[in-house]
Amino acid sequence: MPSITYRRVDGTSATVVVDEGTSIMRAALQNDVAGIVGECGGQAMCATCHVYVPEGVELPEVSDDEDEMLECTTSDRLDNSRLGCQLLAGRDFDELTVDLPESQV
Amino acid sequence: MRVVIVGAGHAGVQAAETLRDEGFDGEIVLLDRDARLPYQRPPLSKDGLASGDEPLPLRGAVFYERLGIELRLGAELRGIDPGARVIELADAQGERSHITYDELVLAVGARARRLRCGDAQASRVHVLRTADDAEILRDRLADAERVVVVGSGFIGLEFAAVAATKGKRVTLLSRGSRVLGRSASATTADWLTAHLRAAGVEFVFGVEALADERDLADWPADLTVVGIGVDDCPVFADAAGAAGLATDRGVIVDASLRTSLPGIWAIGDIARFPDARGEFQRIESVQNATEQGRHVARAIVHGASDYDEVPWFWSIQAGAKLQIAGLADGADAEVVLGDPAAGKFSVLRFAGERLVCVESVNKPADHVAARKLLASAGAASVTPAAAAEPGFTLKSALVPA
Ligand SMILES: Cc1cc2nc3c(=O)[nH]c(=O)nc-3n(C[C@H](O)[C@H](O)[C@H](O)COP(=O)(O)OP(=O)(O)OC[C@H]3O[C@@H](n4cnc5c(N)ncnc54)[C@H](O)[C@@H]3O)c2cc1C
Ligand code: FES
Repeated sequence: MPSITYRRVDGTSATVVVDEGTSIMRAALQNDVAGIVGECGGQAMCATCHVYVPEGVELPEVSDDEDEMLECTTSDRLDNSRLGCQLLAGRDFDELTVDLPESQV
Repeated sequence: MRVVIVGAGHAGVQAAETLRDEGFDGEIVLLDRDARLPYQRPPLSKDGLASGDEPLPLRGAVFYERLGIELRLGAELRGIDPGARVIELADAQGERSHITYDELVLAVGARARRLRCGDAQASRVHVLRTADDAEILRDRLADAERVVVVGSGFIGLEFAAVAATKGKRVTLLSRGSRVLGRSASATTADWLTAHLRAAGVEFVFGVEALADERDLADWPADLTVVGIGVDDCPVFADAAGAAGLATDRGVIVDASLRTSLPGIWAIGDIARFPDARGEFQRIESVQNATEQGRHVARAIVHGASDYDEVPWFWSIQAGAKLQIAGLADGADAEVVLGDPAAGKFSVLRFAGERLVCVESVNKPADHVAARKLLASAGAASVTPAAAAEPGFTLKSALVPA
């Protein structure tokens, strides 16, 4: 089964194993990984599921909606910023490590 | 010290979390009559309904353990004795129990209003409020061909959109002459109507107020759903409730979210609170629930202060994203930014010279700028004339020149 590793700002990390089709946002909520809020329930409308993905990992392109929302993140948007609700385990990646931002709200 | 929170929805769960974030180390008891792990409501009428995913949990099960929050599911509030600071609960079997509190937070949300029905058991008309409702509707929708939706508020529109997207014949009955009569400008409402028509929803306007399920005889359907707002004050299912708890279409609270009874607060959908201009509002949105949850927790830990946050809301209908910041009370003028024909625009609504509300359709960045703007002094510089200037954007208005 796919897995996601969340690296926190303090250097600690948490790895969770998830069903296919689970987003990075949903997996964090289900598994009590603090640092992702997911206020809009995964609609690309709140930017509180912001994560940084590692350089060089192939992921689907940022859509227009996602791009516009990424302009609204609380922590700085970087080149590798993504919305956690838009990336699904099994569909977009099998194993992925993401860095959590300093804050979401 | 023990804080008891009744209702583990968006408001109650946030209140429990913020109590711990703010250093509260007493007991927290979080109760809900629903037996499910607390979940998010918005997906129930959107992609959650369409996809059949499990309800999205508000927090994972271990969250409650980790923070030492005693989560009691399947427990319904039946009465309050404010003098003794005791509440009465009933479990699913009707077994009664009591629990004492030092502070009590009422976060019981709203309950969907239904049409009258001679025999509630025989009711064939559905509402959409809980995960159970959504599961039933999903099943029924799979087999239905003709769907009738009563009510043109957000839930009615969202449900109609999902049903139409699934290829059903959908008729939406609206009392008024347009959709979202109370909650959005005519500009936005008309755009959405056209958008949903294109998705296959048929609209019937000016339908006489339906009170009874029998009034639906003229509208035969395989599946009928009503989205006609919420009950006035659903705190107590039966018992007399609490003597002295002031209610008026919701539980009345002061600016710090205190009810009329000592040690009792109310937050979220159930609370009717005075806004910055002293007008009482009851706001049904995730933002309002979570911010009031945070606010009440801080009040309990650090002392009361006035609640004053810019409200915001979102809705998704057949792929169109609507976001609203602010409250449109008293709005009498508007300026449209962007191009409705292209499906991307914002409606700036003014009460006189004052910007009070911004509705954004497929313009999330406008929405985020509007929220910041409405919370800042900069909003004062955005008059109808200024907004109509060529080159005006909400983002540029945020940065003082
Ligand atoms: C289908 C649907 C779609 C929505 N979509 C959006 C949206 O897109 N955007 C948005 O901003 N808002 C949306 N909302 C509104 C939003 O979900 C509510 O404003 C929010 O849930 C309010 O939070 P709350 O905690 O006050 O109440 P709730 O989330 O309703 O939680 C109240 C809880 O109290 C429990 N309870 C009630 N009575 C008792 C009792 N006597 N004893 C014990 N427990 C009790 C209930 O079981 C419930 O779990 C939607 C609502 C619905 C129903
Ligand atoms: S959960 Fe809201 S943008 Fe991802």
